[in-house]
Amino acid sequence: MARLLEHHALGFFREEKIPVPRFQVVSTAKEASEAAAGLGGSVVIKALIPVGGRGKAGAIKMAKSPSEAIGQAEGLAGRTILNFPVEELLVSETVNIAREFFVSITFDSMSRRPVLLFSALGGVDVETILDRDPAQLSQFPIKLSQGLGLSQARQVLDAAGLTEKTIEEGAELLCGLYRIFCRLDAETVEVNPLVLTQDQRLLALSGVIVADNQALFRHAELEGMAQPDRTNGWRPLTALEKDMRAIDAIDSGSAIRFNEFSDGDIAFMITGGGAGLLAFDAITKLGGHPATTFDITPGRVEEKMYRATVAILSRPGLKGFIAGGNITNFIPIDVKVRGVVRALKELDIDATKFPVVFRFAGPGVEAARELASTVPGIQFYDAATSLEDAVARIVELTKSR
Amino acid sequence: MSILLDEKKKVLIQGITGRQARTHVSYMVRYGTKVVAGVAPGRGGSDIEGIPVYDSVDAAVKEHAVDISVLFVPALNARDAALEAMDYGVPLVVVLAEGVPHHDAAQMIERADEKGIQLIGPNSQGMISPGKAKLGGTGGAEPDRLYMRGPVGIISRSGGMGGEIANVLTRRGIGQSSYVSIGGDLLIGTSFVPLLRLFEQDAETRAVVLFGEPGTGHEEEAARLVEHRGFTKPLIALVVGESLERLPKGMSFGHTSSIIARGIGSPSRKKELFRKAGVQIADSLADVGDMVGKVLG
Repeated sequence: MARLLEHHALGFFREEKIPVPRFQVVSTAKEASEAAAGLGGSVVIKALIPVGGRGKAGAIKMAKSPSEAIGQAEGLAGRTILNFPVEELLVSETVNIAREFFVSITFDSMSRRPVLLFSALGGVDVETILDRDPAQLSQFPIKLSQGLGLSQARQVLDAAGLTEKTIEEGAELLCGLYRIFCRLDAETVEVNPLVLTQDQRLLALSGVIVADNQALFRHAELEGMAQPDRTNGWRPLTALEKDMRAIDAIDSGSAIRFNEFSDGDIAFMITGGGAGLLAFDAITKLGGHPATTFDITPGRVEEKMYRATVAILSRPGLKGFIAGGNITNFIPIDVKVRGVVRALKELDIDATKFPVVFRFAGPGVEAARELASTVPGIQFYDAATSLEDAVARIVELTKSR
Repeated sequence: MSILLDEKKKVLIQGITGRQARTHVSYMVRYGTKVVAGVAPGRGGSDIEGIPVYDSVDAAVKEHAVDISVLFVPALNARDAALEAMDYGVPLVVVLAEGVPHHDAAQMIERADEKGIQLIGPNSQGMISPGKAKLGGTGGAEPDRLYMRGPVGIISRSGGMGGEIANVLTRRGIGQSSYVSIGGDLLIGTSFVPLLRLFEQDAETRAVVLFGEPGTGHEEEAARLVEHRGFTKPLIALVVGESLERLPKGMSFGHTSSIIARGIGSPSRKKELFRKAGVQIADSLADVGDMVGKVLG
């Protein structure tokens, strides 16, 4: 889920000969004005941030002249929009729009193949409309072994009521998008809006490419563009989240996934995708406020557990700490517990005053219990106690504080 | 009885020489899994604890009948290994790797569909038919800690939570017919529905527990199956992640599938559809134990 910035997406479109508006990337109002002059005076100015919903959030401005461009660019540059600081602006030529469409190529978890989504509704807020009224969105499954052919692409456009000449151009365009989707191993390639201009040209006015983090190892061309460390999905990483990425980088043998919540007060380190969700639901239901989520895949985890615990518990305002996870099959849990206990000792945590609950189960449970007992006050639970009961315990202990 | 796996199924191990594979294969064999051969390119002719190793699936299947292949290969090689197994006619392929690129997963799935092969995973933890055999990491060195033979089927999108559910049941003296970990990725070869159909046919299975998560429409599809009487035994569903609905979109706890998008995949909707179809909704692991206990009488 690494979303490329728009100018990178437009760059890939251009390489595939997909028509895009003329554009320039700038960082100051003065540069924006100069760019506007070079693009014919009337321009659209957009904040380059890695999230959707920019139109509604006021991150897209129109300017009729280079002088107007100064004011509009000043209103964007340096601001924080949708949680992201605006460092660069995209200035692009305006076009006379006759019709707008929405095109997306992505994976469908149900047909379990790529699907081309097309709608004759395009533009700002189209996603909300399509969520409400899915009938406006046509879906065309694609067989990977055959790819998207020109004839299939023509059918899509024909169904949308385009004229013959435009259908030919549009079919080439859709096939170009599919080539990008495959070439980059992308999760999603999207154009919104795809516009038909008043002089009957098709143009990809704005584009989104979402790269697959798990395929980045074979895509050197995306280096510097697809930045999984730039965001956690909806906002930039917090300082603690950045620290955690650095801790994760000490060893590629296991992977940490971590989120921080500004309003939480219980340090929460329940590992396992499913177990983490179950425990998170349980803690929320009981009125507890987790400050973090944490997951780590198997590997040499002791050092990472130690450093991660130190980092998490250094956060101010915490009332308690719960660590553990689902019953493991073969991973010795004492290795994890050793890291956590080392951190507790180093931080001089008094678990008789600052509640600490462990729920660890699996091979090595006796050694783990032994380690936990060296820090007085830790409440240790194993497979005899459910994850939810352990969660209830930390909520109860922190509520009275 | 059981589904997909028993002590008679002949199992091939791709990537058998890796450290993790060796450990797990030894546990599998000890439990009763009939491992007939292994594959490791360049290592053909050797053996691992008496299991013959071949350079390719082709070479292995010339010498051995194979019912199931289990892939202990890293994510970046998983596609090629899975396609190789399918091309040589292995009818059931289990992919354990986590972090398989989407395009690779989609290619495996398409080939499996074309050839009528049952693909489990990627990102499966394996499966177990208690008292008979196990595949992958499921159950670890001591499967009897969590699993015992009995009448309840388990299907889970989370490997770890399948074990937790078995733990709850076993502690109450309720055994399991088979547990299948289907994988937490966005694109998986086998979702709930085909397995529910198999459990429906399995005489030993009297009830099924399903563990669901946010994202995808797999639970919705299972609800439709029950509604249309394609599955008629008692079904108990534990669907987690409702608390995510109040958080910003795009957040993931680790499973690539667990992102709610385009109106589908929200846990509250999944639960609602299950309820309408007559599926029992468990709100906790303890509920799972109570509900299963009650339906078995």
